[in-house]
Amino acid sequence: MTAPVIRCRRLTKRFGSVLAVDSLDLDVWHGEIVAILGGSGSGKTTLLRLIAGFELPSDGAIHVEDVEVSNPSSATPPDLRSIGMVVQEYALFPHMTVERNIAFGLDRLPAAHRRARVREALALVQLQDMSERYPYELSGGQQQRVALARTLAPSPVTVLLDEPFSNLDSSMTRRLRLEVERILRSQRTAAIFVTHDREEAFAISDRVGVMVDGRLLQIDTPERVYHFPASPEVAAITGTCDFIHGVARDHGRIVTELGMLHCVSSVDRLAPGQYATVLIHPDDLELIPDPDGQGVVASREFRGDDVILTVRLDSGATLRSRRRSFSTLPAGSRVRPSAVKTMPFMAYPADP
Amino acid sequence: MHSHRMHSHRMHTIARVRTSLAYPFIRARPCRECKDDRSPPAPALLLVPALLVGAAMALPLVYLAMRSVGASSEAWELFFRLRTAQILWRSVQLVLIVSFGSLLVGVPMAWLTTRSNVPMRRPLSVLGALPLVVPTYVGAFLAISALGPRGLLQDMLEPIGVDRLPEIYGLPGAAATLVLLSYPYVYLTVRGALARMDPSLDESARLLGQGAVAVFFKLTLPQLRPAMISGALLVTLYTLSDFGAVSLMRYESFTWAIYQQYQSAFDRTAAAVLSLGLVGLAAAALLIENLARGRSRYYRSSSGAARPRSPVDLKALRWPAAALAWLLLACALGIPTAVLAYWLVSGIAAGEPLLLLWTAARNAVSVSLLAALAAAALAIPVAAMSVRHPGAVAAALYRISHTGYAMPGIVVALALVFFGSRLLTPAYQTIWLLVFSYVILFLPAALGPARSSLLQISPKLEESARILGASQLRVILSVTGPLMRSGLLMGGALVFLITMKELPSTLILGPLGFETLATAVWSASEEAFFARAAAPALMIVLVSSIPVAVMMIRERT
Repeated sequence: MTAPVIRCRRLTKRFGSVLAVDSLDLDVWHGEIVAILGGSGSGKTTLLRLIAGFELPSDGAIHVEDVEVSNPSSATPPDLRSIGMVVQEYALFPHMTVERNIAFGLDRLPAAHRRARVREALALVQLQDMSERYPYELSGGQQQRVALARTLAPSPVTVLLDEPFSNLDSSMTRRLRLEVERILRSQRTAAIFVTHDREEAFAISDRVGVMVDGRLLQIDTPERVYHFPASPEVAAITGTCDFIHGVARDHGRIVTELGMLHCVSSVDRLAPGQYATVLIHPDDLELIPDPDGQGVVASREFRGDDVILTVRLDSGATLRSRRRSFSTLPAGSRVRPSAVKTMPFMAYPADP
Repeated sequence: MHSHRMHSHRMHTIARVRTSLAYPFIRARPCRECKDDRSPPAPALLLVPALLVGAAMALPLVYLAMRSVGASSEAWELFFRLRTAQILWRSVQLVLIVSFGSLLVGVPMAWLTTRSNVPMRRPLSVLGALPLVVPTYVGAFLAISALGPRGLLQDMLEPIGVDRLPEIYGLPGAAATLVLLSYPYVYLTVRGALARMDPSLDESARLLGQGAVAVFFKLTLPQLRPAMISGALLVTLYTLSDFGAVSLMRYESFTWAIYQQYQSAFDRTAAAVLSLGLVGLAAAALLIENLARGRSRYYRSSSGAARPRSPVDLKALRWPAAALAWLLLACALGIPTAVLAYWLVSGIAAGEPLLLLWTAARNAVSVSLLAALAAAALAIPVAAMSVRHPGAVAAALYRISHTGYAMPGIVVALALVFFGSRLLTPAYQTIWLLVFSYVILFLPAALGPARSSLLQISPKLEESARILGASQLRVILSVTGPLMRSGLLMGGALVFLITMKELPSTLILGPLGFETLATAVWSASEEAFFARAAAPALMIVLVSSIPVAVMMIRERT
């Protein structure tokens, strides 16, 4: 088996007394797209800057294709790492045309070869007609594609993308991120991109790493970090979530207000009799109108594609349920909630 | 397409502001105790030239320290004699009068030309900066030739029986000359601040029921305080280091006293010890400025507000306001130019030769260009250190690079005579040592614009270039340098025009027989050959007007 493209081991970065990155391990493989999902201040941008070589680690090491590029005492400068990076504001050189921007990283190639590579890169992002434009003459989406073309032109082993879609309006984001994914996949370039938007992270990545306070709490496929988050903390970042209390029985069953639920747990095994809390996503909660039901619709939030109903159980717990847009259950109506899922629920040990 | 452009432009502005705010938090945390905070150290490519600049800048200070430690007790006696106290008091008086005078003239002028609907606003705003190019010795010599005893005015009044005019020599003449010629420092800094101010603040104040006058006094003026203070500081330092006006007006302030000591005594110690007093005064001015700014340095006018603001309607007051502004320009520019032209014509009529002038002009332009190029180039590493690698080293370098502001030309020149004649003998008595002194004196003028243009370049651009495989040198040459171009040009132009009129350093350090326009004017006017001084003076004014006019016209109002 070959080595990972990027390997971080016990990577740590301190700013004064703040731990921006805390003993982080990460492997990224050839052709893989990894999203790092976290809120502001989670250390995700620092992680990218460490990999790029703009910051030196306080501890730990980074390898690129099995060659150590950073450790606390020495570092390969950014220009010799063969890593590409697209920053949030694209950082296109304002005094150069699109063509010269893209050619910037190709100065070691002979001129003919360089021109061909620029043409290839422009074709890749479908901006062949824009080569003579200056950055200010481009729309935000076009600027982003130029930034990507410029980064990909020298064929880096990995591309780092820092919040690549946050400067674009939301109607454009969805189209553009599929476009970016297509481009990255066509180049088979490994990519790490950081974002605070979970939809973005899920949509185009092979694996999602969830980062909180400098620690990588879980890294797994989008489906697994959504359905089986390693902790309630991760669950809060990867999805809209509510929790319901229960007591464990044997064989992974947990008795809750909503009945007996089949669960897997973040710990090896929940001992029978142990208190637990079960993660309920809005999709998991069915509501049936029933004057004798144990819940009441507290509020409804109509969102167009769907409607989110907040249900207050008689015990006082509140849960959210996502219904189809034409659901007409009004606020105040009594319902019988039931938790339904084709896979096990996720449970965590809890205090009584 | 059009809306796209607007949109992306706006986003760029926002992004730029965001990075420039966020950047210090990411990297600029100098923390000596915690070794864990390692940002990549400043590259040698910046650090080494910056340190060399710092060392060069420290030379005058080192010289003064050496001289005063080695000074005999007689020299110190001289320093503490009553005469020094008198000189000090004279200098302080002059500085106070000129600073306040410049504020009184410069602030209204700046407001009129940026905020009001005064007639002919554009030409007024360009001409308002031009007195900067008139050297004080030219101004003083014109005032004397026109208003002094047996001057033009008296000649004209003689037939009607006036044979005595009020005394012009001394404090009144020196102060009036300096106010008229140095108010542009206040004018330019205040204009800059007015242009950067957010129009929405004024609009909110108006919506809250404040009239235009109230808005000016309650909102505009307080926000202008930092700009007014830094403008007044420039005027103060300019006045302290001025040699031309005070010596021609025979007002014995520090610079003139130092020059007299230097000329008359073989021992330079007395001159050095007196210089210490002058530097002390300049340092005191810097300190007072620091205290006066207080918290106001944290006032921040929001950037990005590119919305045009509607000018304040002066109504019937427009005409008197315009008349006052033109009267000022007539005194500071019009009358001097007219008198110069008169002397020039009468000189040519009397058969005054113009031949020598071309050598002097060529000399002046070439040393000024060299000084401008050197100062702009050396400003890059110092500015880059202070913006990109902040910390103790960068702060010390940045401060020491401003020595020139607090060091009058005469002191720098004396220091370089000392080191030049001992250590740099090959350079001594060449124009290279002269250019070196100009760089020490005027580097701050190049540093300011260089630094602010660098602050507007997102570090992400440099990082992107690095990660695309560019070396440090290539980043400077192909990204940072070209983007700083306008700032470097501006700084270079400023250095050029200040050098054109510099006098004391040129007199002391110029090689034997080396004549510039400035020394030509001075030697002629010192001997009261007004007609001979007119041509070189006019040339200084014309040549240095070009960069100022270009600068002012390029600036969008």
